[in-house]
Amino acid sequence: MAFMTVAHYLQVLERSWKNQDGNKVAQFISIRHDHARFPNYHVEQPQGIVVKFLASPLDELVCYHLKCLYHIGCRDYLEAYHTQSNLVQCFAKILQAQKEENWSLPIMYTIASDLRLIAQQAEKQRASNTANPGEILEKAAECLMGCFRVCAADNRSSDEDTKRIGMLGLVNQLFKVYFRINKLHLCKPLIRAIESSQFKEAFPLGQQVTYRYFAGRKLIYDSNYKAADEYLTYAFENCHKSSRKNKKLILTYLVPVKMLLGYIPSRRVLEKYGVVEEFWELVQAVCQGDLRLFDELMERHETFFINSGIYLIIDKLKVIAYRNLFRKVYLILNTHQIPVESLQLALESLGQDVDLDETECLVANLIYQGKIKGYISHQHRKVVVSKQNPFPALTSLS
Amino acid sequence: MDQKDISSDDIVGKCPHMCPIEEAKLRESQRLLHVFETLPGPQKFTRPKVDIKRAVKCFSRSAAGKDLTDPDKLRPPSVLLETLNYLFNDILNKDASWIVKYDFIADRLRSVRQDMIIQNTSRAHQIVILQPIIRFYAVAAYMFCEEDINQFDPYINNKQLQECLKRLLCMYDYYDTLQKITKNDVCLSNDFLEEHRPYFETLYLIFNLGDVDAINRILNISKNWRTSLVVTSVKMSLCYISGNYFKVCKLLKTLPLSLQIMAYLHMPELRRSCFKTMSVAYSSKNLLFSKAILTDLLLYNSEKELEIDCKHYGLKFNENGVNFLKTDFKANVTKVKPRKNDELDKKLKDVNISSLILNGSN
Repeated sequence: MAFMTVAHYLQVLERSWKNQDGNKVAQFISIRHDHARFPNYHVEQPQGIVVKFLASPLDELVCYHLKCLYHIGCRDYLEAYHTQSNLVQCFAKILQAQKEENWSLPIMYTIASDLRLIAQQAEKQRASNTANPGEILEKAAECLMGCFRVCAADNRSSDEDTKRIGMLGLVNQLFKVYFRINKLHLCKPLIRAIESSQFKEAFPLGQQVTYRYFAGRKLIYDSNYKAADEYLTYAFENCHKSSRKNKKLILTYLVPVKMLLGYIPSRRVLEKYGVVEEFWELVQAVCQGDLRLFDELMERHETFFINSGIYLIIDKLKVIAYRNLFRKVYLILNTHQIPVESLQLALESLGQDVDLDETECLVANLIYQGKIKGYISHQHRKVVVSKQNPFPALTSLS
Repeated sequence: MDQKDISSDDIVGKCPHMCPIEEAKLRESQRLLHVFETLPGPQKFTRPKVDIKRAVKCFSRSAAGKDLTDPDKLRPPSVLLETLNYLFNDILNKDASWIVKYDFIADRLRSVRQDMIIQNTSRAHQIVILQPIIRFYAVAAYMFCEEDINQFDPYINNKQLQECLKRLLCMYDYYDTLQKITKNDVCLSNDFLEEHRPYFETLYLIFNLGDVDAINRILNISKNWRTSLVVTSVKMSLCYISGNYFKVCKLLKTLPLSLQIMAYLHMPELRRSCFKTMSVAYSSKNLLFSKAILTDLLLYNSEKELEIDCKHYGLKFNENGVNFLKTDFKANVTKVKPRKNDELDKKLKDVNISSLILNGSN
């Protein structure tokens, strides 16, 4: 089976470009479109045929594209990366020259994510003889920044034609790169650019979902959980219901954040999105103050927690588990003066290695954070809790 | 083994002395020689003569128009190592005031690093060169923490320490990737290079106690490096974040001496946070917290020291104990300067610092 001839393909491209049909051109210049699979499109020296059909500036773009397909066909991803990188740079110049029009933004989105995908492949391939992992992806990010600058600098066009609306699509690609190479600090200026943009609410919904997902993860990293909750909740609620994989990904971060803020996810939700295995037992351990189970889960799921970047926030859930355990002790003893010894005993029985002073220290932190109302008497080794609502609901704390 | 080292056209130093002859002559003529670098003699009034065996290349900032790449002025790795040996054995044990010795060594170390970086020295050499330099900065950070800022600037010292540490860790990471790729015995023969890795990974964590990036780094490196020492320091860092201060202090005592002193530098910050929490949790008009116990828990030298800090943060106390009150704690005052710990000092006295810096302890 063969796709349309290259000549025909070039004609379609030429017509779409003239009609300013950004989406069509984007499809036809993507390495992920059907045509990319056919060997007749893998051309090492495409100039000859391309200039017959296409005029500047499109001819240059298409030459790079066909060359890139050729290199991918040869499984030479490093060369493919260089070619695609040239393509993106070339496009940035074209984009800059297009005043008062933004129909070509879809092309930018497509070639930008193609570049990232190729860079990832090249990274894998080159890992065999490179000294600096992540270098290619970093270079790819620099290349994308070139486009970003063109978009961000377009402040003369009217709102309908502004290229600034293209910023978010690029930011999302950059996020993907930065998260992959673990350079989260580079996200900060991007987030600032988007947050201060007048088009903040006008960006396409799909892009906004992606943006909030990554920005939310960054907020977790910075321990800003309230804001993270807001971002991830938006992402989760607006993510298309058929994108189950994405919903699951968002939940991986939203569940720990919600729990830290005192909300308990229901088993039904966890089941619906297939994260029961990872989280249900954890929910139980935290709710019941079962620290032994908690420690065990930390160990069992360690790799998953670390790889997802939620190890630290999960570790923080331990505080909630302490609170719930201490509350149990309080209810059992049914007194407002809880001996520190009883709390320590409870901790010890669950495999925690703590002495009396450390137990006091744990309680002190809970009181400081407002999770327990009361005070400690060190002389009497007692925790004196408030007669009214000594363990306020976690969700009531701000 | 290291393609980059073989194939690239990096400059290779040719200077056989610790200090290039040209620089030695220049500094002699301009009277810029350090006392450690001159020939002995009655030179009160005459111009001091350079002792080329003892002169060490100065650090000089890179600047426009200055060529730092002259191979005759760059020392090859073997000479750099020799220089380190000289600095840490001969200079460090000289009978001179510590400040003179520190300034001299710290300056010359920067030029050692500069030479190393300009030549893009092999990773193996970088590891061997960086390790003692880091130990030096780490020990200095503690030893001189009580000194006046005009004598010893902890900020500059820490900055150097951080830079060197990060570079060293990158070198280790490089070996990890290499090992994963080759999976043969090429790297096994280099085991001695990574022998001290758990120590330095721990040092990085302890130096950056409670820092999210540092913890994430440790979590993401190969599990082979999670020795009990590394595990302990991760735990310390997590406890520090969650405010379990007494536990941090308890764990601190289990570290090797050279890491304890590093961790001890965090005490002012730790105590401040601890007082802040306690002034809320123990808030009561008539209850007291025993000074003796608090002195012990927060690793103070004496109750007197505890009292000084309490006063500093606005907390009240009497002869029976500290009286915490929510409203008393002054959040705005600067944190106190680090103090040395008598017990650690006593132990340090029995340590041969030269050998600690050059060979490491354990």
